[in-house]
Amino acid sequence: MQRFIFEAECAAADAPPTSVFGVYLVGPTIYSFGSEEQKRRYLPGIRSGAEFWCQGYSEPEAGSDLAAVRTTARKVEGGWRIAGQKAWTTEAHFADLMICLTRTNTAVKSQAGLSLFVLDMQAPGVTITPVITIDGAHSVNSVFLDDVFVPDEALIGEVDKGWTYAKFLLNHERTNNAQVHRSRREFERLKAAAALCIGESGRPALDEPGLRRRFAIVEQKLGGLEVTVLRVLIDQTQGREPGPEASIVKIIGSQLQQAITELAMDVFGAAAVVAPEAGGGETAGWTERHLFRRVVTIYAGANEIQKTIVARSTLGLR
Amino acid sequence: MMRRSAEQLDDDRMLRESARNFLEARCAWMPEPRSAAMFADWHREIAELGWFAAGLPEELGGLGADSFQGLSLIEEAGRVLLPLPLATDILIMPWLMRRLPKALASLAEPLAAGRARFGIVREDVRSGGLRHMGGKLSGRGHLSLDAAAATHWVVLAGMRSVGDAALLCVEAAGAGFQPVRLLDGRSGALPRFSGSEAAVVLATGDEAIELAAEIEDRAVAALLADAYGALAAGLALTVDYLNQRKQFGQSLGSFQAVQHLMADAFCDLETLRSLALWTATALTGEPTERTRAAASAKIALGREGLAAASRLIQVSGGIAMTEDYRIGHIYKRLQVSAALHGGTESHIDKLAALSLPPTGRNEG
Ligand SMILES: Cc1cc2nc3c(=O)[nH]c(=O)nc-3n(C[C@H](O)[C@H](O)[C@H](O)COP(=O)(O)OP(=O)(O)OC[C@H]3O[C@@H](n4cnc5c(N)ncnc54)[C@H](O)[C@@H]3O)c2cc1C
Repeated sequence: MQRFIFEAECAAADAPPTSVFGVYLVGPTIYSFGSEEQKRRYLPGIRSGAEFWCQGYSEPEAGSDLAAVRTTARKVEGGWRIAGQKAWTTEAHFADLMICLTRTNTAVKSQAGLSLFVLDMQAPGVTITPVITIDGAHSVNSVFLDDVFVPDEALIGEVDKGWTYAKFLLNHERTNNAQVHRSRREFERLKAAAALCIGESGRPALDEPGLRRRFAIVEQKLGGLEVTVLRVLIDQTQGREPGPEASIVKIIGSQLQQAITELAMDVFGAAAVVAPEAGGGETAGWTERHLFRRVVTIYAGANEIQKTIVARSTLGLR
Repeated sequence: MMRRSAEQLDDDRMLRESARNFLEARCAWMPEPRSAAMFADWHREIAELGWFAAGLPEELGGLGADSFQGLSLIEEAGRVLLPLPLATDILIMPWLMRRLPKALASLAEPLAAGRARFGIVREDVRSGGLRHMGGKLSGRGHLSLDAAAATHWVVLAGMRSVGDAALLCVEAAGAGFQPVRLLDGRSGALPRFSGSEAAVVLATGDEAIELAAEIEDRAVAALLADAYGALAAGLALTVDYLNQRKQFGQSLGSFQAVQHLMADAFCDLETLRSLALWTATALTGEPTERTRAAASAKIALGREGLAAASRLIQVSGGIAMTEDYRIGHIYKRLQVSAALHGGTESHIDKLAALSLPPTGRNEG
C-alpha cells in the first residue's frame, strides 16, 4: 500500500521509473528466500540504487514456456559453472548483477531441476549483444554465458527449487505490470496535449467529438483499474500473497496502456508518424512509446497465458 | 461489380505474377535500410517494366490498363514493403493525364519513362492551409509520401471553398520542403511555398474540388492495396512461424488462443480486402459512392488493418518486437498509412456525413 502511494507520487511528478528488477523482483526474492549473508550483501545496493540488476530468465527456446530453460549450472570446486544463452535481457548492458535461472538437474522433469543464481555481469565469459527493438531503441540484449563461474554463495535458496522462487518473482512482476500510476499520468499528459494540438478539422483535438468520447472511455477504464489494483493491494495487506487474481490487473492494465498510446496516435495524426529528430515538440516520445507498447501484452506472461490462468485457477474451468 | 472478361483475368494474373517475380528477385524485404542508389535503380527498372506507362491511354503512349491492374502492382509492392512511393505515378497521374490531356500530355512520355515523378501535396489545415493567387502559392503542405523524390507536384490548394479551390502543377525543383524520416523508415516531405514557385493551374472551383476528391480517393485506394499486400504477406509468414515455433512441447499454432487471434486477423484482413475491392470498383463510378467506399476503406485500414498487425505481433511474441523481424515493419507501415490522406477519425466523420441524413429531425 505504501508502495502504491509512493508510485502514485513518483508518476505524478514524472520521476524516472525506478529500475524494476532490483526493487520489484530481486529484492522480494532475496528477502523471502535468500540467506542472511545474501540479504546483507544485496539488499542495501537495491535500496540505494547503487547496484543495477537484470533478469536472466528467458531464452530463445524458453519464452512462454519458461521451464524449458536450457542454460546449465554445473557443480565445480567451490561453486558452479553456468553455460547457455539468455534472451531479451532488459538493461543487461547497464546491469551489475543478473538473477539467473538455470538447469541444475537434467534427470528430472522440466520445472523440478531449476535453480536461481546471482551472477556478476563483469565475470569472465559474459558476452552481451544488443537487440534493437521496433522503436529503434536498445533496451534488450542477448546474453551469452560461456562457462561463467559463480561461487557457492551465489545460489539463492536450495538447489533445484528455483522454479518455486521464480514463480514467486513472476507474480510480483505481474502486479507491478498493471502500471496504473504511469497510465494515469500518461493519460493526463495526453489530455493536456490534446487540448493544445490542432486536429485535422482545424480545431483542438480535444474538441473533436469522436476523440472526446474515446478519452471518456479510457477515463472509465482507468478508474476501474485503479480500484481493482487497490482491491488486490488490500488482499495483500491482509496477508495474502498475490495469486491468480493478480493476473487480471496485468491483463486489464496492459490493454489500457495500449489504448492510451493508440489514442495518442490519433490525437497527433500525421505528426506522430514523423521520426522524432524532425518532428520533436508535442509528439516527442509518444510514437516510440506507442510502438514499444505492443510488448506489454507479451512479456511478463503473455495475455493469452494470463487468461488461461484466470479461466482455470480463478474460474475453475476444466 | 465490374465484370472482367476471361482475357482480362488472364492479363491480370500475368501482370501480377511478373510483378511478384520481379519484386521478390530484386526488392525482397530485408531489415537493413537501402541506399539512395538502390532506390534509383529500382525506379528505373520499374519504369522499364512499363508500370508507369501501363495506366496511360493509348493515345498518350500507354497500354490503357485499368485501375485494378494498377492496384495489383501497388499491392505486390506492399508485400515486400517497397520503400518507393509508386501510387501517384501508377494510379493517379495516368488517370489525371487522361482527364486533363491539354495541360499534362507533354508529361506523359517522361512519366512512362520514369524521368518525371509526381508527388501529391495536400494542404495542412493545422497550419493554415495552402493559398493560391495568380499562379503563386503560399502556405504549408501536409506530410507527403512522394513529394521528396518527385520532379513535379500536384498541389491541392484552398479546397475548403469553391472560390479558393485550385489544382496546380508545380515543378518540384523550385519548391521547398523539409525532408523527414517516417516512422517506418520511408522518407517523407513537409512542403512549403514561398510564392516564388512557377505553378501551372490545372483546374479551379468546382472542377478542382471534384478532381481533388478523386485524387484523394485514389490515394486511399492505393494505401489500401499496399496495406493489404503487406498484411497478407505478414499473415502467411506468421502462419509458417507459428507452425514451426514450439513451446510447452507443441507448436504455437496448436494453441486455441493463438488460432483464434489468427482467425481474427484473417477476418480483419478479408474486411480490408473487400473494402479495397469495392473502392477499386467504385473509382470508375459515381462520386458519392466512390467517396463512401474510400472512406470505409480508410477506416478499415486504421481499425481492422492495425488490429490485424497488432495480432500478428502478439502471437509471434518477443521476436516481433525486434527491428530485424518483418512483422514490426508491417505494423509501422500501416501506422504511417493510417495517418496519411486523412486520419481514421476524420474518415469516420466523412462516412457519417455521407451515409446518414444531415441532422436528426423532431417531427412536429
Ligand atoms: C522488450 C522485451 C523485454 C523483455 N525483458 C525480459 C527480461 O528482462 N528478462 C527476461 O527474462 N525476459 C524478458 N523478456 C522476455 C519475455 O518475457 C518473453 O518474450 C515472453 O515470455 C514471451 O516469450 P516469447 O517471446 O518467446 O514468445 P513465445 O513463447 O514464442 O509466445 C508467442 C506467443 O504465443 C502465444 N502463446 C504462447 N504460449 C501460449 C499458451 N500456452 N497458450 C496460449 N497462447 C500461447 C502468446 O500469444 C505469445 O505472445 C522480454 C521480452 C521483450 C520483448
